[in-house]
Amino acid sequence: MGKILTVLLIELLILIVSVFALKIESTVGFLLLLVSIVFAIYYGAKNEKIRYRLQDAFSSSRRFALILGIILIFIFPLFFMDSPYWVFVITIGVIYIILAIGLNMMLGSLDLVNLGFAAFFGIGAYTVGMITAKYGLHLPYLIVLLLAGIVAMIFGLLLCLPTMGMKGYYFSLTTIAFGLAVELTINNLEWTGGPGGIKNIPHISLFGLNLGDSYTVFGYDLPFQLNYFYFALVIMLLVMLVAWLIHNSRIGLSWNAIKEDDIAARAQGINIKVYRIYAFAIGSFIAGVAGAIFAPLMGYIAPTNFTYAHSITMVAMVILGGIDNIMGIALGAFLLSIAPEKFRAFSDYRMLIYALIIILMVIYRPQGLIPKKIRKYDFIGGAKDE
Amino acid sequence: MLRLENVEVYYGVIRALKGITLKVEKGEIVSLIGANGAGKTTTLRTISGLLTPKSGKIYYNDQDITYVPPYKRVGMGIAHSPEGREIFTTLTVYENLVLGSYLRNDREGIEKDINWIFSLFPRLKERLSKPAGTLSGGEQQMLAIGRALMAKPQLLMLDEPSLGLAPILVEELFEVIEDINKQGTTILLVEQNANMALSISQRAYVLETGSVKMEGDAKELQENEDVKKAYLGA
Ligand SMILES: Nc1ncnc2c1ncn2[C@@H]1O[C@H](COP(=O)(O)OP(=O)(O)OP(=O)(O)O)[C@@H](O)[C@H]1O
Ligand SMILES: [Mg+2]
Repeated sequence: MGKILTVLLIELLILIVSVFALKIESTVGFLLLLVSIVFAIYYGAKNEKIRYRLQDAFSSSRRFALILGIILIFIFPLFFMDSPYWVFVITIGVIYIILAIGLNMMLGSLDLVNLGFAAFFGIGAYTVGMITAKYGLHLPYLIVLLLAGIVAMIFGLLLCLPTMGMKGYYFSLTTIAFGLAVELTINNLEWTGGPGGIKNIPHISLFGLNLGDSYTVFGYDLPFQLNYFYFALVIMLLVMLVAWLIHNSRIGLSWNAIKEDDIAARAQGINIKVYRIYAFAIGSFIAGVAGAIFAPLMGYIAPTNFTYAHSITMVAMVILGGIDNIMGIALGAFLLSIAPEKFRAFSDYRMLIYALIIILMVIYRPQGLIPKKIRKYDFIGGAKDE
Repeated sequence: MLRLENVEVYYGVIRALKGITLKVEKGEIVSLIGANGAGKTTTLRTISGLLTPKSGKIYYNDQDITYVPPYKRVGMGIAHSPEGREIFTTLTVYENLVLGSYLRNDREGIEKDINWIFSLFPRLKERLSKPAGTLSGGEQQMLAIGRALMAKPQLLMLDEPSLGLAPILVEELFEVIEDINKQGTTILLVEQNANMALSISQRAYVLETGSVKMEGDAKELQENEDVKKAYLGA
C-alpha cells in the first residue's frame, strides 16, 4: 500500500511540476525550476536509499504506475485550456519524443551519431504535404501516415547502404551531408515549393472526425490543438511500445552487442549488416510518421522546419535524457522542446546551449539523466524489463 | 575436419601469415604454440573468418570456406573464444551467454547448456545478472569460454584461455578443456602456457614469424630439445 502511495505521489508531483513549469511566466523562475529538476533527478539517482525505495515502489506496482502515468498524461493538457498555444507547444513536444525514440534506434542502439535525422522528419512531412495539399489526393489519413513512414524509410535505406561500413566521424559527416542535401533539395526544387514550402495542408480527418474542428465537451469549447495532442499521444504510446518490445527482443540485444564490439558480435554469428538495416529502416520510418503528424498540425511546412539545427536538437534530446532508455529519451525530448519557448529572450543562443548540454552531459553524465536499465530475464531468449 | 592450405594473410602491407598449412582431425585437441607475434591469433581469426586470406584455402568438413562470412561459419559449427576477453562488458553475464547461442533455436538445449556451463564455472552463476565488465579478469576469461561453448560448436578455438588466471585455476581450466573435448568437441588451442597445452593435446604446431616451423605429436614435441629451449622454458 505504501508503495502504491509512493508511486501516486511521485507521479502527481511530476504532473504538478510540469504544469507549473509551463505556466510560470518569468524566465529566471523557469530556469531555477529547470535546474532544480535536473539536480533532483541527479541526486535522487545518486542517493542509494532514495533510489532503492523508488525503484522498489515502481517495480512492484508497475501496472498501476503505467496506467496512472498514461491517465495523467491525458489530463495534462486540460490545465492549458485557456491558452491553445501551450497545447500546441506540448503537442510539438510529443512529436519530438517520437522523433527522439526513432533516432535512438541508431544513436542509442548502435552508436551511429546521425546528424541528419531531421531529413527523415522532413521527408515524412513533405510526403503528406505533397499528397494532400499539392496533389489534393483524398486518401484515408492512416494510409498517408503509412506512406510518409515508408518514403522516409526508403531514404533511410538509401543512406544506410553506402554508409554500411562507416563508423564514428566518417558516419556523422556523411549524415550531415545527407541532411544538408535533403534540405537544399527541397529548398531548391520547384516541385516541392522551394523556400516557400507547402501551404494549406488540410487537417487530419480520422474516423469521421476532423482534427481541425473545435469540439464541445460538457459545455467547454476545446481548442482544436487538443485533438492533435491526443492523436500524437496515441502514436507516441504505440511507438514507445514498439521500441520497448524491440529493445527487449533479440534485435535489441544484438544491437547492443554490435554497439559494444562489432568484431565480437560477428564472431557470435550476428549478421551486423542486417541489424544496421533494421536500425535505419525502423528509425527513419518512425521519423516519417512524426512528420505526418507535424505537417497537418502546422498546415504549412517549409525547409526551415527540417534543418541541421533540428538534427542537432534531436541528438541533444537523446543524450540529455538517457541513451537507450525510453523514459529518459521522452524526458530529454520534452525538456528541450519546451525550453526554447521559455527562453525566447535567448533564442539567438539556442544552438550554443544545446552544444553546451551535449558537451556537459558527455563529460559528466554520458548515460543521460535516466540511464539505461539492465534487462531482467525470466526465460531464455526473451527479456523482461525492470 | 579443418584444413588450411598455404594460407597467407596480410594486415595492410604486413604479411602476418606466410603460407600456413595445418589440419585438425575430428575429436582432437591440437595446440598452436609460438612466441609473441608469431601469428597464432591471426591464424584463429582467419579460421573464424574475421580475416580473409590473400591466398591459400581453408576447408571445413571438405567444404571450401575461404570466403564464407563469419556469421555463417558460426552456423557451421566453428566457435572462437578470442584473446584478451573480448566479452560484452556492458551486457550481463546471462546476455553474453545468450549471444553465444545466437544461431541456435533449440530453447531446451540452450537452457541445458547454460546449466552445463554453470557447472563448469560456478562463479558465473552467482554473477548472472551483473554487467560482465564488473567480473574479475579470470571470471571474464571463463565467460569468454562459456560464451563460445554456447554455440555448441564442433570446433572450438580457444585463444590463450589461461591468460591472467591464478595457477590453481589454470589447472582447473585445462581439466575443463579436456572435459569439453571428451564430450565430443574438437579443440584448437593457442597457449603461452605451452607445457600445459602440449600435455593435453594429441598434436601441435609450432609457429614462428608467420610460418609453421615444426609440427607433430604433442608428446614428442614436448621432449624435443629445440622446443624445450625456446618455448618450455627449460
Ligand atoms: N591489427 C593488426 N594490424 C597490423 N598488424 C597486426 C595486427 N594484429 C597483429 N599484427 C601483426 O601480425 C603479427 C602476428 O600477430 P598475432 O596477433 O597473430 O600474434 P600472436 O602469435 O597471437 O602473438 P601473441 O602471443 O602475442 O598473442 C605480429 O607481427 C603483429 O604485430
Ligand atoms: Mg595472440
